[in-house]
Amino acid sequence: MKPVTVPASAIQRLDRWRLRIEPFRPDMNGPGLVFASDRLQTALVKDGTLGQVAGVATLPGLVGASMAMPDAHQGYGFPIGGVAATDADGDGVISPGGVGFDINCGVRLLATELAVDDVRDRLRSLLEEIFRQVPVGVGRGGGKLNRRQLDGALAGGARWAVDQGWGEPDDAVHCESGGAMPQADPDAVSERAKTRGSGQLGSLGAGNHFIELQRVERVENAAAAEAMGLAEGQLVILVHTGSRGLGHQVCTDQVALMQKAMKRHGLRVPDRQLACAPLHSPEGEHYLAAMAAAANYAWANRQRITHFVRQAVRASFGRDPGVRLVYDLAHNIAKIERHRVGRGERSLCVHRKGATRAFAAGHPELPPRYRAVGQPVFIPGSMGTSSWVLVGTEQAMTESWGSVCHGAGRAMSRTAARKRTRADAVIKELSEQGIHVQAGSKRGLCEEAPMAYKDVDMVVQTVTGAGLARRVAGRVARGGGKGEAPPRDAVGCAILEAWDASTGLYGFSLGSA
Amino acid sequence: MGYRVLEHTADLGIEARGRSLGEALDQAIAGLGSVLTGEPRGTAAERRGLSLTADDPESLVVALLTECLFLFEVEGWVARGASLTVIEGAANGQLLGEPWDPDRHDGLAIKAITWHQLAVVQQPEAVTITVYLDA
Repeated sequence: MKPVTVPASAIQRLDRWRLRIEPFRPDMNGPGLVFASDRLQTALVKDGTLGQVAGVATLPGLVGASMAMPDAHQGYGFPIGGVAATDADGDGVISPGGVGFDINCGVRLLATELAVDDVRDRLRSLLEEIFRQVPVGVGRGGGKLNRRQLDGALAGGARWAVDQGWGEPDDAVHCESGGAMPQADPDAVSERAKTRGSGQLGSLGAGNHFIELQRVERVENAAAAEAMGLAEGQLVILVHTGSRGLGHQVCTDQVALMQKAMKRHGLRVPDRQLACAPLHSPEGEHYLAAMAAAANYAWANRQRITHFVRQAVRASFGRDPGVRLVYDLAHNIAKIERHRVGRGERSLCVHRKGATRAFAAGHPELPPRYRAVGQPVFIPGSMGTSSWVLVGTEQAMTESWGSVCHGAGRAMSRTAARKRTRADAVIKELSEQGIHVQAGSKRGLCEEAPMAYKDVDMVVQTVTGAGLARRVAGRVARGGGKGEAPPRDAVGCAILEAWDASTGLYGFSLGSA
Repeated sequence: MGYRVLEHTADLGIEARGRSLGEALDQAIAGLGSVLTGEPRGTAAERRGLSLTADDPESLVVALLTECLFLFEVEGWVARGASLTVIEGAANGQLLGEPWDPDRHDGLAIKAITWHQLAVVQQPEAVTITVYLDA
């Protein structure tokens, strides 16, 4: 199958932050909507992302537009950074490719009660202790689970992990979906997937997965920051990982099954990785049950890692400095959600592939702590750049099914990154910014070098400029730095800053292959 | 005949060529082994029996490389090639490979074999497989 290419005549700039792709093929069931400034648009056109947005628009039962967030880049079938909803009450499909292989890869932010300035001389030892506690990299697992335990994780997610003694009572409350999707059925997960997952719970994995120590540099939205317990100067820890080999195998199994289902249901898509089945078909229901179980495994995985991080913090400081889970959210997931469509409300199957749920204040699914301010959203930058804390808005609810971006987004392939830099150069560059890196491998460090990613500040500027989110905390772009400064008129924002060259903060990046 | 690694913004792919589908599959496995270990060539002193069936050649590529990933992740064993007989969607024969050595190998962790732009082009003089990997 040839990749879909979008004719220039079908691309229309709606405003500074939005592009529309008019349906230009008879099989497109809706338009494309891409959140991108002029500068980000160039990369999206060049790497084929827009064609993939158009390809996703061919999914049967699509409601509204096939969307891409400003961090989007070419993926497999779906673009990374894609959002698409299908009709869950009618003829909508569910597509494993719309979730991806790393089911519920996501992030969680942990807030300590420590000020970076008070513990600066002990940060490096804390990093090393975390590195000792959390299995990292290729071939490093988290201890073997028996079948009963594994099924418990698949059914109960973060709640199950807390019941094992790996968390605090409030932890699961502060996860998206309460840390467990109710549709999960451990029996829908293959033996092969369970074999891969039985030895990996509580491990970080490789690739772009990481644990970072960060400092809250600036708070812009006092009310939201207070609700999240964030204050300037505070030491926080960001964890990024997913469902490990279990999730990868679930997706592999299900995409293969969907290839056969497509023929049976008479469905055609322009890329076989977009394989799908009607949500209300045996194949669709089976995938949802298996995907939800893998998503729960990912929440249990991040929960167990949180337990290890808390142990490391206790070991490093000789006391319990109160490591609190601020929030945990998914980047790769399909959820059945109620959304306003036209004048009514409908159940939709919302696929987020490299995108983050960002519900507005007042949404009933938000925990009480955040109901007045909106759902916390964490946008990690690359090593050496900022991360951001945002909250969802009403605009996101009406325009993007309550979704925003998930990170900086890759700007070049891993191969290209490796050709352009060396591990010692990356370490030196980061060191000059006061960032200390622990990585599983030199090769992985090159592939995750800051220059391999887009400018996270520009990405955040686009989603806040479009009104999909408000900033809570982060870092202000330095003079002469990358990108434009974030707009000051964005509604009561905030910034969470990861790295600060001037203070010599130790950063921490794990998981390089 | 051989393989080359293809660039892709998300991750990477492999283009493998052989005089037959069996040979092209052997080269695709060699390409995957090079990605997993960071070494273009390795020793292939160990053998493991293999028997797979699939509906079409593309499905066979995904099934075979997925099997190699499974062996890598669960057993720490790297497939470096294969000696396969392929008849009508059924592949039978042996995988050739070696144990993964964390002190020597510095490769890329691969999550899965994708169906994205997956192609098996069978021409009289050669068979070419194009497959992308999710890392």
